[in-house]
Amino acid sequence: MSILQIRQLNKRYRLDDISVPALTDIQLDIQPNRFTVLSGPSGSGKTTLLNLIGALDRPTSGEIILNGQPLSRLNDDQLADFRARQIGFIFQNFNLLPVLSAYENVEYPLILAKVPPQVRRNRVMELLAAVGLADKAQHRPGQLSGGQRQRVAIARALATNAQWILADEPTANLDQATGAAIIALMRQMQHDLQVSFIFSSHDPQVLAAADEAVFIRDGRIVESRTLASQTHPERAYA
Amino acid sequence: MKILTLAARNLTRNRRRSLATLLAMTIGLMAVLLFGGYSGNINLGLQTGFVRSSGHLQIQHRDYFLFGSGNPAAYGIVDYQRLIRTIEADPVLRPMLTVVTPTLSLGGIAGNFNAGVSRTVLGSGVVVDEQNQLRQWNDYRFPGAARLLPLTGSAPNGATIGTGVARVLQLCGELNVKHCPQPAHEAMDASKTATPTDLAALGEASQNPAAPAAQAGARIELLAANAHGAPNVAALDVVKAEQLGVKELDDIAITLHLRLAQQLIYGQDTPKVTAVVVQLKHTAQMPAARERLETLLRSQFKAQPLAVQDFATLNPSYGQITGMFAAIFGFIAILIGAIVLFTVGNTMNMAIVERTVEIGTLRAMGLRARGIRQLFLCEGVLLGAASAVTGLSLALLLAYVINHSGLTWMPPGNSEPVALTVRVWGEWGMLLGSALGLLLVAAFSAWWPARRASALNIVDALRHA
Ligand SMILES: Nc1ncnc2c1ncn2[C@@H]1O[C@H](COP(=O)(O)OP(=O)(O)O)[C@@H](O)[C@H]1O
Ligand SMILES: [Mg+2]
Repeated sequence: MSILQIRQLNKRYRLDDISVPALTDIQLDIQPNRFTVLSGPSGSGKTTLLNLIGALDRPTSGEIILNGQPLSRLNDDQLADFRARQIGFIFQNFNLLPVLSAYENVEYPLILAKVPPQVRRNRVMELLAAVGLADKAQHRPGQLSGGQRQRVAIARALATNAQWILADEPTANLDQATGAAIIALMRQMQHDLQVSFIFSSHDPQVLAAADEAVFIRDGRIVESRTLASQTHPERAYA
Repeated sequence: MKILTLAARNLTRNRRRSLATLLAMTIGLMAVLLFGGYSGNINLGLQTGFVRSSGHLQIQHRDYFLFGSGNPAAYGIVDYQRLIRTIEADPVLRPMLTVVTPTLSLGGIAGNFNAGVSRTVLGSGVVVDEQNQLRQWNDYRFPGAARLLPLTGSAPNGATIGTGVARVLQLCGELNVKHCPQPAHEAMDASKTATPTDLAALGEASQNPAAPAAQAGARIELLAANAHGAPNVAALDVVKAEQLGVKELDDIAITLHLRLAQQLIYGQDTPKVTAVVVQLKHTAQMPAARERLETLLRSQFKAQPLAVQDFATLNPSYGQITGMFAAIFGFIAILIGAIVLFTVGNTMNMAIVERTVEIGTLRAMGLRARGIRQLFLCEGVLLGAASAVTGLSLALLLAYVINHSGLTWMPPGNSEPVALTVRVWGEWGMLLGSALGLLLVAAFSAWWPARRASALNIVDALRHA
C-alpha cells in the first residue's frame, strides 16, 4: 500500500479571458489506510483537490502519483479504467442512479470492473448488509431517506475493493444525527476493509473523527497535522 | 446488456416526453406505411389491369410500337401460329405461361349509315376465349371475379364499342347507354330506322344465351384499308357499348373477333397479327421470359424483325403513375424522417441536460466516454424500435379497418368506384424498409446528443445544478 503523493500541484480555472487560481503549489503526501480530512472554508479548493486526486480532472501543472501511477501519463480511457478499479467516490448529493435499485446501484461499478455475476451478487449483498440495508436491496433511491441513500453510496464506493475512497462533503446534506451515523459507518468500514478515506469537509464532526487533517485556505495548504487522539496503535504505519 | 436495461429504464423516467416522442414516430411511420400501402395497391391494381388487357410481354414487329398505329397492317407478324406453338412448347417458357394469344390492331372508319354518321376508330381483333383467360390473372388477389369480355358468345361479326363511339354514331338508344346526350331531332330518326337492326341483333343474341350484354344491339359498318391499300367493309353487330375510363379510348375503341378483323385486312391472303400477347404467372418472371423469348426470336424467327415489349413500355401511363406515387412517397418519407430527426434529437438533448450530474457520476465511477455515447444512442434506438413496433402494428390494424370499412374511391381513368384498399400486410419489403429507416433516423438523431454527452467535462457535469 503506497502513499498518495501530490507534487507541485497547480490548478487554474479559466473564466472567460482570465485564469483564476484554485490551487497553488500543493505539496502533500497522504498516508494510506487513514481517515484524512481536507478542511477549509467554502471556496478554498477542497473539491478541486479531491477531483484532481480522483483523476476526474487534470491539473494545470504538477503531478499526482496514486498507487504508484503518475496520473498525468494516462489518457482519458485509461483514467476511466483507473477510476473504475482504484477509486471510489462518495458525493454530497449521493448521486445514485435513480432508475436503479439499491442493489443495482452497488452492482454497477462491479459491472464496469467486469466482475463475474456470481461474485458480484455475493459482494453486493455483503456490502448492503454491512451498511445495514440488506432489506432495502430492491428499493430505488427515491424510496430511501437521505441517510439510507448515503449508505448505498458508501457501499457503491467500496464495491470494487478500491484502495482510495474520496468523499466530497458527505455529510453536508444530512442532519447532524444522520451525519454522525454516516461518519461512524465510514470509520467502521475504513477499519474493517482497511481502505483509505479522503474527505473534504468543514463539518467539525468529520474533523473530530479524522486521523489526519489538511487545512486549506485560498488554494494553499496552511497546515497539515496528525490528530493524535485518533492514532490507533494497530494502524501505526512505518 | 446493462446499458440496454439502463437505457430502457431511463426512457420511463420522463414518461410523458418519451410517449410524445414515441407517438410522433409512431404516427409518422403509420402515415408512411398507409400511404405506401395505398399507393402500392394502386400500382398493383394498375399493373393487374394492364396485364389483364395486354399481357406482360408482347411480340411485335420491331417498329410497330413507334410507327405501327399509322398503318397496323404493314407491321403484321407472318407465321404467328408457329410462333405461338413454339412459345407454348418451349420448356423454359412453358412453366411461366398463363396465356399466349394473338391480336390484330387496325384503323378504320365506323359508320352508322342509317343515321348518316361515321367516325375513325381503332379496332382490335381478339380471340375472345383467350382474352377471357387473360382477364383471369390475379396474382395480387384483388377481390371480385374477372369480368368476361362483352364480346363473349357473340356471333362471328359481333363487336363492342366505346360509349364515346356509340354517342357519335347515335347508337346510345339501341345500346342502352346511359348519360348519353343526343341531338334530339336526329335521335328520333335514328331510333326509327335502327329498329330492324335492333331486332335482328336481339334475335341473334337469343340464340346464344351466354351473351351477357346482348339485350341491346346495333349494326354498324366498319371500313378499313386492306393490306394492299384497297378499301374493305365489314358489317358488325354491336352487342354492347362499353364505358372505357379513358375518354380518348372510349371515343375510338372497337373490339371484334380476330377472324373477322383478319378477313377485313388480309382478305384471302395469309392472315397475320400485329402482336402476340404473352401473359406470365408472375410479373417477376418478366426478365427471364423476355430473355428466353428474344433467344427464340433470334434463333427460329430471324426472317422477321420482331421485338419483345413489356407492359410498362406499351402503357407509358404505368410508369408515370407509379413514378408519381414513388415521388410522393419519397417526399412524405423525407418529411417524416426530418420530423423524427428533430423530435428524437430534442428529446435526447433535454434528457442530457436533465441528467448532466448523472453523466458525471457514471464517468466518475469509471464508465468510458464511449459508454455514455452508447447509453444515449441506445436510448434513441430503443425509442425508435418501440415506435417501429407500435407503428407497424397500428398501421396493420388501421389498414385492416380501412380495407373492411367499405369505403370506395374513383381512381383516375376508371369508370366505376373501387374499394379503398391499403396494401400493408404482406408488403414485407416496405414494412421492413420503413421500420429500419425509422431506426436508422432515430439512431442518427441520437448520435449527436450522445456525442455531446460523452464529451462533457466530468467536473463541470458533477457541479451542474
Ligand atoms: N469549474 C470551475 N470553473 C471556474 N471556477 C471554479 C470551478 N470550480 C471551482 N472554481 C473556483 O475555484 C475555487 C475553489 O472551488 P472549490 O474547489 O469548489 O472549493 P470548495 O470545494 O472548497 O468549496 C472557487 O473560487 C471556485 O469558484
Ligand atoms: Mg466543495
